[in-house]
Amino acid sequence: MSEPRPPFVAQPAAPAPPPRDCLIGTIRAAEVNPLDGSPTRAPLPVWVTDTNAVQMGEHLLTDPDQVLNLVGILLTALRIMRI
Amino acid sequence: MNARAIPNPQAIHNHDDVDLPFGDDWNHAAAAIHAEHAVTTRPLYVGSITAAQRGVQGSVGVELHLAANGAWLDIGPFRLPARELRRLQHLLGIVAACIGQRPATTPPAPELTPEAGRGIVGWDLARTASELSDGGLSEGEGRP
Repeated sequence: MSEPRPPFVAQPAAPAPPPRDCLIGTIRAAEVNPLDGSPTRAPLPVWVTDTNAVQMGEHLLTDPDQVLNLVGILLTALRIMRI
Repeated sequence: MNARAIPNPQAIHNHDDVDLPFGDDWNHAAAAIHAEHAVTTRPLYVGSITAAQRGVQGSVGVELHLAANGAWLDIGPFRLPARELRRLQHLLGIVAACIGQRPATTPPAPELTPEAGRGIVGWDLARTASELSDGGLSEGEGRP
């Protein structure tokens, strides 16, 4: 007769990793030289930070109201563009 | 027509910056056409946001300008073509959902203060209603 199998003991779950920034996507944008208007290719990554702020390139939107403000402005622009 | 006297309309941002030539070679008709072209092709201001910027103390204002022909949108120094603008709006919609700041669909809960829900402080609606039903008070009486 075989040995009885030991009861299954659930191992404690590993501690959750600390929150980290999350890359939502990258926008193919161009950076415009204000002097001569010449564009230079400049990818614009959009991040959500661990503090619930939104980072677009060098700009950091820490106020959620500003995120909604930007969404509203983009909706207005899209409506003007009729997209 | 003296082409040198007419500045590039795309470069005109402030008419005060334009050096007007004086003399007999000034072409009024061409200047008017170019000035109108400069106005009609000037980007439209559609709004601004307040953001922080790395290496800059405090907050900065980022203006958004839309091309008059709708071909692109400037967000500060960055220029986005129309298709990327749609993509950015989609991404920010996801972001707004992630951080839980979607517009509220229900009114906020009333504040839990001693006077919450009582309306006018000191106004005893139940007592007033009771007295009105008894005929003791006429409407308007009993208000503190």
